[in-house]
Amino acid sequence: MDDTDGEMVERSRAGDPAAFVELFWHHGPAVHAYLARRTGRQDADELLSDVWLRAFRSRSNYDHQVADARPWLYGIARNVLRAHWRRRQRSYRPSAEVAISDPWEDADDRIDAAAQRMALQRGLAALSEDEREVLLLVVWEHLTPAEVALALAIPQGTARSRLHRARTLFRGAFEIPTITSSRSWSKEA
Amino acid sequence: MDALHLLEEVARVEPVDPDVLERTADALRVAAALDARGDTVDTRSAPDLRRPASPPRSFGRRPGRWRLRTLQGAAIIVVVGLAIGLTAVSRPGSPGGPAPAAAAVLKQLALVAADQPAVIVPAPGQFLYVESDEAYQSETAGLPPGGKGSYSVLLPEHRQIWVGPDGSGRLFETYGEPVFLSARDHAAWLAAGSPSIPHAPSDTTFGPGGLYLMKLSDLPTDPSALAADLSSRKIEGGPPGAAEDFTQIGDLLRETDASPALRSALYQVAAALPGVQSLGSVTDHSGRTGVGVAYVDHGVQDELVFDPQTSALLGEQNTVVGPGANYPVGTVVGWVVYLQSAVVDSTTSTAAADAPEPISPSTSPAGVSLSPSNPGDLKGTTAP
Repeated sequence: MDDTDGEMVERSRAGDPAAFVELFWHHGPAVHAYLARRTGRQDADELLSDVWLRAFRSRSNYDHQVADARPWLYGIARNVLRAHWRRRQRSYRPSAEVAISDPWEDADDRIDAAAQRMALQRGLAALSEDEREVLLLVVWEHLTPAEVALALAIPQGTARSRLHRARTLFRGAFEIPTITSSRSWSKEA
Repeated sequence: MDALHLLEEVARVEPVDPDVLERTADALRVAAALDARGDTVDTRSAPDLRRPASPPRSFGRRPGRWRLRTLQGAAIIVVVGLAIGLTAVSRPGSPGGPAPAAAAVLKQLALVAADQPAVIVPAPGQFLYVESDEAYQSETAGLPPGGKGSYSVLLPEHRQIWVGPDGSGRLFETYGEPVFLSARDHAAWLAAGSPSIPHAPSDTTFGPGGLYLMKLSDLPTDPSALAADLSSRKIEGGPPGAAEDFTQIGDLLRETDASPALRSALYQVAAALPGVQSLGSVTDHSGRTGVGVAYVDHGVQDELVFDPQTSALLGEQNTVVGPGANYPVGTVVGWVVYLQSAVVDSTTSTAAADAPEPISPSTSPAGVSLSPSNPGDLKGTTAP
């Protein structure tokens, strides 16, 4: 009953057909929320099954010592999202665009001032994709830096330094209205 | 409010619809049941269909699509062990570096690319138009709602895309008959109650920012600088490793207007990439011959085919070559042929606009340009 995620995956590997479904009931909503925040609700509805079927097929890759499966699941969800965006346009659409344009349509309703929305967008646009993902996994999904490292398959030290840099850059760009992104991949004005 | 608190505030989303959860749970139940059954799946019609043990899936490579729309009926054909395939002529390279043959092919392509004529910029109001035929793995999970199973088909598509400099444009896709990738997929589809498989035409118009024309003018055309930007994921984000490098090189060539100098640099970067293999002379799905290079990732060989005369990307194919891909060796899980590419004046036009004076990348403000040696020039250059 109180199996850890790792134990559920282990049971699934051993042939228990109910184990992975059990894991799904634990974390399905969280994975859906992850997708919805980044690509909107409708796309999230479509992509959820894909994330979980991929997770099921690759469950032999899961380190069952890790009690919480969410970092692993978010890592898979991220790859499914990248694939989804890449599919929409054959060449991968740079995520500076994606992270800001798609989910923000939904978020618009919840932000009172247009200026604040602009500031948030500016803050996120100041980050590289890697920095943004680290920041959003912490702020949106409430992962620890160690869990972020697992999700993104990067060393913990890298996750921490990236998070520090992301916070600094984000706050800076949020507060200074005249900041200009140096990224060459931002949308043409 | 603090910036990070505000950021957290906007993360609230509506709870997921229970039906959506049920659908995924059903798909997982069926997947687990099929997995547990293992070898007892009927393989009489498909003696090659042995499921590899615990196949890891590739997540980094360019994937199929996942389409869950409901649609009209479709005639469905079961084909097992697709016979279509590129003909590999040369041997794979050593794992430690690019095969000498692959490096030679790519270096030759780089020389050809660098020699291609100057380029044209799609001006504001104009569009880069690319037409292609393709087939991609389309995975359906647990449809109709309450139904069972998940199954993959190869869905043929005719694709036309128009993209302007501001990201406005149009995407028009029509589909052929879906083909099951394996007897296992067919069994899952039968178990799900033989639902219709979506393949209605799709025609979408996008306003500014709806699509994205990659801005390639800022990329270095010096191969070492380009390789550094690519492998540090400065150009696109992504996991580390040569497989992703190879994918991203492809991204910069697909439906883009990469200049001859950039293409030349990309081929040189690919020439130095560990694990790239030469396929020798190959024939694409429209019958054109070209030279092929490939990268194997998680049991799937991702193949790019180029015209040796112009260096243009003719087509692509993804073929199962080893365990890890859920399908028998030789199964083609995706392919593309690029038919035509031009700068046009509207999203209803497929005819090249009257060409302005060629603009060299150094004098063009956007620096984005269309190579006259695009695949469209090759339409009809068919080989036996």
